[in-house]
Amino acid sequence: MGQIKFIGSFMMIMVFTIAVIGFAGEFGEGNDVAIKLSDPGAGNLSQLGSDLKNEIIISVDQINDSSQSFMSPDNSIAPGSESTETGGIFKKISSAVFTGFSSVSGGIKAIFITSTTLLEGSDGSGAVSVGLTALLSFLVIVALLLIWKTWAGKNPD
Amino acid sequence: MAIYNPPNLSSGMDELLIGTVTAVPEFTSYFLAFVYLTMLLGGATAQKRRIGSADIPMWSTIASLTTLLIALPLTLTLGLIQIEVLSVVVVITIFSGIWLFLDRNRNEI
Repeated sequence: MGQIKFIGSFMMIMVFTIAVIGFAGEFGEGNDVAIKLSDPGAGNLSQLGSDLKNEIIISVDQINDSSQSFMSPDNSIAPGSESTETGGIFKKISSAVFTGFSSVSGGIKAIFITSTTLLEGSDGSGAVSVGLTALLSFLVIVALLLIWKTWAGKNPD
Repeated sequence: MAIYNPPNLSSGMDELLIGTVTAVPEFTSYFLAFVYLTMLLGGATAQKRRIGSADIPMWSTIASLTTLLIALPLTLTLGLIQIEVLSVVVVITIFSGIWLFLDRNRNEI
Protein backbone atom coordinates (compact mmCIF):
# COMPACT_ATOMS: atom_id res chain seq x y z
CA MET A 1 0.00 0.00 0.00
CA GLY A 2 1.45 3.29 -1.11
CA GLN A 3 1.79 6.44 0.92
CA ILE A 4 -0.96 8.39 -0.85
CA LYS A 5 -3.34 5.44 -0.72
CA PHE A 6 -2.56 5.00 2.98
CA ILE A 7 -3.41 8.64 3.75
CA GLY A 8 -6.54 8.37 1.61
CA SER A 9 -7.60 5.24 3.46
CA PHE A 10 -7.25 6.98 6.79
CA MET A 11 -9.30 9.95 5.59
CA MET A 12 -12.02 7.60 4.33
CA ILE A 13 -11.94 5.75 7.68
CA MET A 14 -12.32 9.06 9.52
CA VAL A 15 -15.24 10.17 7.37
CA PHE A 16 -16.90 6.74 7.64
CA THR A 17 -16.51 6.64 11.41
CA ILE A 18 -17.91 10.15 11.85
CA ALA A 19 -20.81 9.26 9.53
CA VAL A 20 -21.70 6.04 11.38
CA ILE A 21 -21.46 7.53 14.88
CA GLY A 22 -23.24 10.70 13.77
CA PHE A 23 -26.02 8.71 12.11
CA ALA A 24 -26.54 6.49 15.14
CA GLY A 25 -26.44 9.45 17.52
CA GLU A 26 -28.70 11.70 15.47
CA PHE A 27 -31.17 8.85 14.97
CA GLY A 28 -31.48 8.62 18.74
CA GLU A 29 -31.77 12.37 19.23
CA GLY A 30 -34.14 12.95 16.33
CA ASN A 31 -36.57 10.12 17.08
CA ASP A 32 -36.51 10.38 20.89
CA VAL A 33 -35.64 6.71 21.27
CA ALA A 34 -35.61 4.70 24.50
CA ILE A 35 -32.03 3.45 24.07
CA LYS A 36 -29.60 6.23 23.20
CA LEU A 37 -25.92 6.03 22.41
CA SER A 38 -25.44 9.54 23.77
CA ASP A 39 -27.36 8.81 26.98
CA PRO A 40 -27.07 5.09 27.65
CA GLY A 41 -29.25 4.97 30.77
CA ALA A 42 -28.74 2.55 33.65
CA GLY A 43 -25.46 0.78 34.21
CA ASN A 44 -21.83 1.71 34.22
CA LEU A 45 -22.22 3.65 31.00
CA SER A 46 -24.76 6.05 32.49
CA GLN A 47 -22.32 8.78 33.42
CA LEU A 48 -20.04 8.35 30.42
CA GLY A 49 -21.47 11.15 28.31
CA SER A 50 -21.56 13.80 31.05
CA ASP A 51 -18.18 12.76 32.44
CA LEU A 52 -16.54 13.08 29.06
CA LYS A 53 -18.22 16.44 28.46
CA ASN A 54 -17.02 17.81 31.81
CA GLU A 55 -13.49 16.58 31.25
CA ILE A 56 -13.36 18.15 27.81
CA ILE A 57 -14.67 21.47 29.16
CA ILE A 58 -12.06 21.44 31.97
CA SER A 59 -9.34 20.56 29.48
CA VAL A 60 -10.35 23.41 27.18
CA ASP A 61 -10.31 25.86 30.11
CA GLN A 62 -6.87 24.74 31.20
CA ILE A 63 -5.55 24.96 27.69
CA ASN A 64 -6.88 28.47 27.37
CA ASP A 65 -5.36 29.52 30.72
CA SER A 66 -1.97 28.04 30.04
CA SER A 67 -1.80 29.39 26.52
CA GLN A 68 -2.28 32.95 27.73
CA SER A 69 1.45 33.19 28.39
CA PHE A 70 2.11 32.98 24.70
CA MET A 71 0.18 36.15 23.98
CA SER A 72 0.44 38.17 27.20
CA PRO A 73 1.80 41.74 26.82
CA ASP A 74 4.76 41.00 29.13
CA ASN A 75 6.33 38.76 26.54
CA SER A 76 5.76 41.02 23.57
CA ILE A 77 8.69 42.29 21.52
CA ALA A 78 8.56 45.78 20.11
CA PRO A 79 8.45 45.79 16.30
CA GLY A 80 11.90 46.23 14.84
CA SER A 81 13.70 46.21 18.17
CA GLU A 82 15.37 42.86 17.57
CA SER A 83 16.48 43.37 13.98
CA THR A 84 19.51 45.08 12.56
CA GLU A 85 19.31 47.97 10.14
CA THR A 86 20.29 45.82 7.17
CA GLY A 87 17.60 43.28 7.97
CA GLY A 88 14.83 45.59 6.85
CA ILE A 89 14.47 43.96 3.46
CA PHE A 90 13.69 40.61 5.09
CA LYS A 91 10.87 42.20 7.02
CA LYS A 92 9.40 43.47 3.77
CA ILE A 93 9.72 40.02 2.18
CA SER A 94 8.11 38.30 5.13
CA SER A 95 5.35 40.89 5.13
CA ALA A 96 4.68 40.24 1.43
CA VAL A 97 4.64 36.46 2.02
CA PHE A 98 2.27 36.91 4.93
CA THR A 99 0.00 39.09 2.81
CA GLY A 100 -0.06 36.41 0.14
CA PHE A 101 -0.97 33.68 2.60
CA SER A 102 -3.63 35.96 4.07
CA SER A 103 -5.20 36.37 0.64
CA VAL A 104 -5.18 32.62 0.03
CA SER A 105 -6.64 31.86 3.45
CA GLY A 106 -9.25 34.57 2.93
CA GLY A 107 -10.30 32.93 -0.32
CA ILE A 108 -10.48 29.51 1.32
CA LYS A 109 -12.53 30.99 4.15
CA ALA A 110 -14.92 32.53 1.63
CA ILE A 111 -15.29 29.11 -0.05
CA PHE A 112 -16.03 27.52 3.33
CA ILE A 113 -18.62 30.14 4.25
CA THR A 114 -20.30 29.88 0.86
CA SER A 115 -20.38 26.07 0.95
CA THR A 116 -21.68 25.97 4.50
CA THR A 117 -24.39 28.49 3.71
CA LEU A 118 -25.40 26.59 0.60
CA LEU A 119 -25.49 23.16 2.25
CA GLU A 120 -26.66 23.96 5.78
CA GLY A 121 -28.41 27.29 5.55
CA SER A 122 -27.39 30.49 7.27
CA ASP A 123 -27.80 29.04 10.78
CA GLY A 124 -25.94 25.76 10.27
CA SER A 125 -23.49 24.30 12.72
CA GLY A 126 -20.56 24.52 10.31
CA ALA A 127 -20.06 20.77 10.16
CA VAL A 128 -19.58 20.98 6.41
CA SER A 129 -16.49 23.09 7.00
CA VAL A 130 -14.93 20.23 8.95
CA GLY A 131 -15.38 17.90 6.01
CA LEU A 132 -14.12 20.54 3.60
CA THR A 133 -11.05 21.07 5.76
CA ALA A 134 -10.31 17.35 5.73
CA LEU A 135 -10.84 17.15 1.97
CA LEU A 136 -8.70 20.22 1.28
CA SER A 137 -5.92 19.00 3.55
CA PHE A 138 -6.01 15.61 1.84
CA LEU A 139 -5.79 17.21 -1.61
CA VAL A 140 -2.89 19.43 -0.54
CA ILE A 141 -0.99 16.50 0.97
CA VAL A 142 -1.59 14.37 -2.14
CA ALA A 143 -0.47 17.21 -4.40
CA LEU A 144 2.72 17.73 -2.39
CA LEU A 145 3.42 13.99 -2.36
CA LEU A 146 2.84 13.72 -6.11
CA ILE A 147 5.19 16.65 -6.77
CA TRP A 148 7.86 15.13 -4.54
CA LYS A 149 7.50 11.59 -5.91
CA THR A 150 7.55 12.82 -9.51
CA TRP A 151 10.65 14.90 -8.85
CA ALA A 152 12.41 12.07 -7.04
CA GLY A 153 11.40 9.45 -9.59
CA LYS A 154 9.42 7.33 -7.17
CA ASN A 155 6.27 5.31 -7.76
CA PRO A 156 3.36 7.74 -7.22
CA ASP A 157 0.84 5.30 -5.82
CA MET B 1 -59.51 -26.86 26.00
CA ALA B 2 -57.59 -24.69 23.57
CA ILE B 3 -54.52 -26.27 22.06
CA TYR B 4 -52.84 -22.91 21.60
CA ASN B 5 -53.48 -19.68 23.46
CA PRO B 6 -52.88 -16.76 21.10
CA PRO B 7 -51.06 -13.83 22.68
CA ASN B 8 -52.91 -10.63 23.40
CA LEU B 9 -51.92 -8.28 20.59
CA SER B 10 -54.33 -5.49 21.38
CA SER B 11 -51.43 -3.18 22.23
CA GLY B 12 -49.56 -3.90 19.01
CA MET B 13 -46.92 -6.20 17.61
CA ASP B 14 -44.29 -4.62 19.87
CA GLU B 15 -45.65 -6.52 22.86
CA LEU B 16 -45.03 -9.82 21.08
CA LEU B 17 -41.38 -8.95 20.44
CA ILE B 18 -40.86 -7.49 23.90
CA GLY B 19 -42.36 -10.61 25.44
CA THR B 20 -39.99 -12.76 23.40
CA VAL B 21 -36.97 -10.66 24.39
CA THR B 22 -38.06 -10.72 28.03
CA ALA B 23 -38.25 -14.50 27.97
CA VAL B 24 -35.05 -14.96 25.94
CA PRO B 25 -32.75 -11.91 26.35
CA GLU B 26 -30.34 -13.19 23.70
CA PHE B 27 -33.03 -13.02 21.03
CA THR B 28 -32.02 -9.57 19.68
CA SER B 29 -28.30 -10.24 19.51
CA TYR B 30 -28.83 -13.64 17.88
CA PHE B 31 -31.25 -12.13 15.38
CA LEU B 32 -28.75 -9.38 14.47
CA ALA B 33 -25.97 -11.95 14.18
CA PHE B 34 -28.20 -13.99 11.86
CA VAL B 35 -28.77 -10.95 9.63
CA TYR B 36 -25.05 -10.09 9.60
CA LEU B 37 -23.89 -13.62 8.80
CA THR B 38 -26.60 -14.11 6.16
CA MET B 39 -25.50 -10.96 4.33
CA LEU B 40 -21.79 -11.71 4.74
CA LEU B 41 -21.79 -15.39 3.78
CA GLY B 42 -24.52 -15.11 1.16
CA GLY B 43 -22.98 -12.13 -0.59
CA ALA B 44 -19.44 -13.46 -0.45
CA THR B 45 -20.51 -16.89 -1.71
CA ALA B 46 -22.53 -15.42 -4.56
CA GLN B 47 -19.66 -13.15 -5.57
CA LYS B 48 -17.15 -16.00 -5.41
CA ARG B 49 -19.40 -18.13 -7.64
CA ARG B 50 -19.70 -15.32 -10.19
CA ILE B 51 -16.22 -13.81 -10.43
CA GLY B 52 -14.05 -16.42 -8.71
CA SER B 53 -13.02 -14.42 -5.63
CA ALA B 54 -14.93 -12.97 -2.71
CA ASP B 55 -14.47 -9.42 -1.41
CA ILE B 56 -14.94 -10.22 2.28
CA PRO B 57 -14.26 -6.69 3.65
CA MET B 58 -16.84 -5.14 1.34
CA TRP B 59 -19.48 -7.70 2.26
CA SER B 60 -18.63 -7.28 5.93
CA THR B 61 -19.20 -3.54 5.61
CA ILE B 62 -22.47 -4.01 3.76
CA ALA B 63 -23.64 -6.62 6.27
CA SER B 64 -22.73 -4.49 9.28
CA LEU B 65 -24.44 -1.42 7.80
CA THR B 66 -27.56 -3.53 7.20
CA THR B 67 -27.39 -4.77 10.77
CA LEU B 68 -27.03 -1.19 12.03
CA LEU B 69 -30.06 -0.09 10.02
CA ILE B 70 -32.09 -2.92 11.58
CA ALA B 71 -30.72 -2.30 15.09
CA LEU B 72 -31.46 1.45 15.13
CA PRO B 73 -35.28 1.17 14.85
CA LEU B 74 -35.20 -1.44 17.63
CA THR B 75 -34.02 1.32 19.98
CA LEU B 76 -37.34 3.13 19.57
CA THR B 77 -39.06 0.90 22.13
CA LEU B 78 -37.72 0.08 25.57
CA GLY B 79 -36.88 -3.56 26.05
CA LEU B 80 -36.10 -4.65 22.51
CA ILE B 81 -32.35 -4.04 22.46
CA GLN B 82 -29.69 -3.30 25.06
CA ILE B 83 -27.20 -0.47 24.82
CA GLU B 84 -24.35 -3.01 24.84
CA VAL B 85 -25.72 -4.76 21.74
CA LEU B 86 -26.15 -1.43 19.95
CA SER B 87 -22.61 -0.42 20.90
CA VAL B 88 -21.23 -3.69 19.57
CA VAL B 89 -23.10 -3.21 16.29
CA VAL B 90 -21.72 0.31 15.89
CA VAL B 91 -18.18 -0.84 16.71
CA ILE B 92 -18.39 -3.75 14.26
CA THR B 93 -19.60 -1.33 11.58
CA ILE B 94 -16.68 1.02 12.20
CA PHE B 95 -14.14 -1.80 12.21
CA SER B 96 -15.61 -3.21 9.00
CA GLY B 97 -15.10 0.21 7.44
CA ILE B 98 -11.50 0.31 8.67
CA TRP B 99 -10.93 -3.17 7.24
CA LEU B 100 -12.53 -2.16 3.94
CA PHE B 101 -10.53 1.02 3.42
CA LEU B 102 -7.21 -0.52 4.45
CA ASP B 103 -7.79 -3.57 2.23
CA ARG B 104 -8.27 -1.76 -1.08
CA ASN B 105 -5.88 -2.58 -3.90
CA ARG B 106 -4.90 -0.33 -6.77
CA ASN B 107 -7.77 1.11 -8.87
CA GLU B 108 -10.45 0.19 -6.36
CA ILE B 109 -12.59 2.38 -4.16
